[in-house]
Amino acid sequence: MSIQAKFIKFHDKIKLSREDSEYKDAREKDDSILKAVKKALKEEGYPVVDNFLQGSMSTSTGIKNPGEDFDIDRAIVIAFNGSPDDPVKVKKIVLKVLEDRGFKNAKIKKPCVTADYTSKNLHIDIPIYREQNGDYELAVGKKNSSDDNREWSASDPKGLRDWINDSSLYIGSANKKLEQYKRIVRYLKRWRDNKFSTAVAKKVFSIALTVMSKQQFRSSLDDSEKANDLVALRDTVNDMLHASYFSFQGNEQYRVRVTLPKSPWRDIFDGSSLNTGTQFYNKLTVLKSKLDQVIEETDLVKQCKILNEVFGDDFEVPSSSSTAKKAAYSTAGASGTSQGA
Amino acid sequence: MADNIEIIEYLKSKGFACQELDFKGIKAISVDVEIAEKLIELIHFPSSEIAGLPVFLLAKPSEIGHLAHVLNYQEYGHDFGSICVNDRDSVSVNFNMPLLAIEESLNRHIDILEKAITDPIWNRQELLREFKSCWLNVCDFDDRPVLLTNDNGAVEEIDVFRPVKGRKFGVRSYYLAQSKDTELAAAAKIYWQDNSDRSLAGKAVVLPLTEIEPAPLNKGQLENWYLDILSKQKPDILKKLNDNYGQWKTYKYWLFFNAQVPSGKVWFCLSFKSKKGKKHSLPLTERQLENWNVKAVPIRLFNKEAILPRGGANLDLAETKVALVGAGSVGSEIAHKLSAAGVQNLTIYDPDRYNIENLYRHVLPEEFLNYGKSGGLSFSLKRQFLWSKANSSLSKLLDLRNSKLLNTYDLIVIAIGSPTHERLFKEYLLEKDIRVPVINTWLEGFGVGGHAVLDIQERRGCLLCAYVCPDTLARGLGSNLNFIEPNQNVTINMSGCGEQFISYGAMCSAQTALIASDLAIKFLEGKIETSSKVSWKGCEQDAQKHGITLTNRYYQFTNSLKIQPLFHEDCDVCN
Repeated sequence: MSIQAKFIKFHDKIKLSREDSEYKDAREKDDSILKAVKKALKEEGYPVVDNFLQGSMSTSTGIKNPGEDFDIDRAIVIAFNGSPDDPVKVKKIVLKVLEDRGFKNAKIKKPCVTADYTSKNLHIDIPIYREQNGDYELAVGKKNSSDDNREWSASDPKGLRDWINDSSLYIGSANKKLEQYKRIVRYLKRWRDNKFSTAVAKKVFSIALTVMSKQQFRSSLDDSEKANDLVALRDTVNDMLHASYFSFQGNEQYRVRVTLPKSPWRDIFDGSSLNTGTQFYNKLTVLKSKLDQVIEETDLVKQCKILNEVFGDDFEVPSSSSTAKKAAYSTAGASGTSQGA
Repeated sequence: MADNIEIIEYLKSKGFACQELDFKGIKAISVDVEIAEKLIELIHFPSSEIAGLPVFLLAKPSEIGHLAHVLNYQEYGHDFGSICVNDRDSVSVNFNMPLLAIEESLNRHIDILEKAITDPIWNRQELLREFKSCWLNVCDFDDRPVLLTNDNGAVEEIDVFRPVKGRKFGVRSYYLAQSKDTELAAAAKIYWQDNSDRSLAGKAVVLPLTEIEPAPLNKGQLENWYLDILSKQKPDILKKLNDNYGQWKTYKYWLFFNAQVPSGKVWFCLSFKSKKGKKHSLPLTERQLENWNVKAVPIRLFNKEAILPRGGANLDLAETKVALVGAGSVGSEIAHKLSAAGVQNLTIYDPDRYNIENLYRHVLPEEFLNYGKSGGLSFSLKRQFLWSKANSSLSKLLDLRNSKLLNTYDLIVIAIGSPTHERLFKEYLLEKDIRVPVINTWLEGFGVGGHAVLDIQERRGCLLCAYVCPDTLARGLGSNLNFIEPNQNVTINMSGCGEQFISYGAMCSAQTALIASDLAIKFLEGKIETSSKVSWKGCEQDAQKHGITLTNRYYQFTNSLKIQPLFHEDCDVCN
């Protein structure tokens, strides 16, 4: 069995998609909340014209993390015409829906309305947009923000989602390469959760890892079209380190800056501390070096031991290099081929 | 082009003694050269254009002796020796600098002559090595050549038949002398014995020579050369000739000689025709020769040892048994190439009939329409490759799941382009532990490429290595060698269901067949001992035009035609 087979097994363990059984409760909650939010906004004269998933569920980059909540990022869009000048007004309507449904800690944050559903390990983020001719504006402002801190801020959530999901620049086996990129995002997220303290991990934003690895992604497929996630991850991490995200601040400290590739083009790490940047840079450097070690190593068990240390116990270490019997058969019923003679 | 004066001045400046000559109004250049104290004269007839190595003829060659690489002939009433410097086509000549070309050629002519004159041992060896071309120099070409089918060269008496009247082409236009029990006998009987149309011309005797001398210089030396050769043979051969043919009288005899020379076994022929229309016995003495006109005549030997290696075929593949499954565009080309390589025992399996739609990407001509593809192919192969024993069957690949049958083959080549059947067949081989090596080959549409995999059961790497799914690393349904991404509509539908076809041309099927045949032949010759894969990559334009997306392998692939290991580390069979 190859190291790639181990990566696939690891990925199967950590990936979280909307169709997963673990996500069933979240999915159902999402559906019912959406229904209630639509109803409430309509009654208040702000009919919902669109809604869509944001975040990792919309880009298939979500991961399971024991002890962590399942996230729902459900964007709500109201029409531009008739929308209130005060963006917090609609956020308050959504907040009330959540409070009425028994959510603890429901509150209005600057970019969204958020709540936790403790018994089901759910964390809900509801950003609200208004839309006109395809242009979106995000309702920004907290419950008690001053007028200066309340605004409809230009944003391009669908553009960002499409940018992440775009495979048009990959030449040959584009979908395979896109899937490999998304696996790499998941690996990096799991690495972050395993290697950083909880407090710092929260500041190494998932969207930053997603954007950085998208911009620096280096695919690796072998002559049989088999992905080599190990090499792709190492090459991508290497390029992340050598791109201009990290700037040296002296005294072995770094600042990290990653610009959103779509409107509002803001720095994802705006206001981030030197500690976050330094830890991020140093741990990414160690990751690269560990991956180099794994590539150099020829024994499968030793490779897996290093990766287990990097990613945690979901990356399994086999008892020997040749014990595992492979699953032999394809799970597809049929596949169209181009073969003739 | 330089004129004679320029050439003469140039050669003089290079130290040659030369002058202009006049051969009945034709200006030539004479160059005098001294080799081993012999004065040699070389003649050059300038041409208006230098299209090959400039020629220098040896003047009065008979005065110098019998030289290797020199053939004597007459022109303008003079004797000349034509000197074979090189195969003229194998030299690229500087036609822009004719004087340099003339000087270079002159030096090469002199080098050859010097070697022949100063090294008599080499000269004799070379004369024997080029015996056949020297013999042709004394042959009469006033009649059709004799075609001789003979495998062993032993003493034998053979009837010689005249060509079929009115035939100008093909085997029927030759005199035919067919030895008994040759491998070709069966084919000859079927295709061109035609004794009813051929009349008996006379009798031939095959005579293996134990001693050989260089061929005579000219026709006038033939009789003495013949008597001299006879005198040098072992007495039992002469006795056998005398006992068997010394009393038997006829109007015409042929003697088919064979002898070992440095370049291999050489065959040549003398024909004896009675001078006065009377029957005489085979002449073995000077006195008996007085009754006969003797001529050297060209002979073409028609046996495996002569024909197959000349065409690059391998005699060692004669006994190899190969099954070819699929006689479509790729399979038919493979059948042709395997047969051309010397595979004689080829069984071709295909249930399909030859349709008019097949014409432009198949090797069979229109005459075979509605005939079984496998039958038509085996017939056609036997016509071209005369020792082929190709046979045919209408069975399909899945019908061949019979271990007793499969174990009779040294190799199975599958060219059906059906991954489902091919994988089913592979699983049967695995289940029954049948260890016959198998080549699977297929092409892809729109000219993007083709593939062949050699699965040697006792080696790491198997067909299923080429089917490991890149995503799940389990057994996949399409090959991971493919250049076209799966699950796209690659067929073209011109007139409804059942009429779809994959778009590709004869070039693609031929190219795919070449890689598969190359793999097959190298394996059969023992040059490949590991399970292997090979692909060729074509152009992407047509695929792009049809909106077909290609794999990463296509874009990264730089190993067209290179044979590479097949083993895949995630194949469940090989690990």
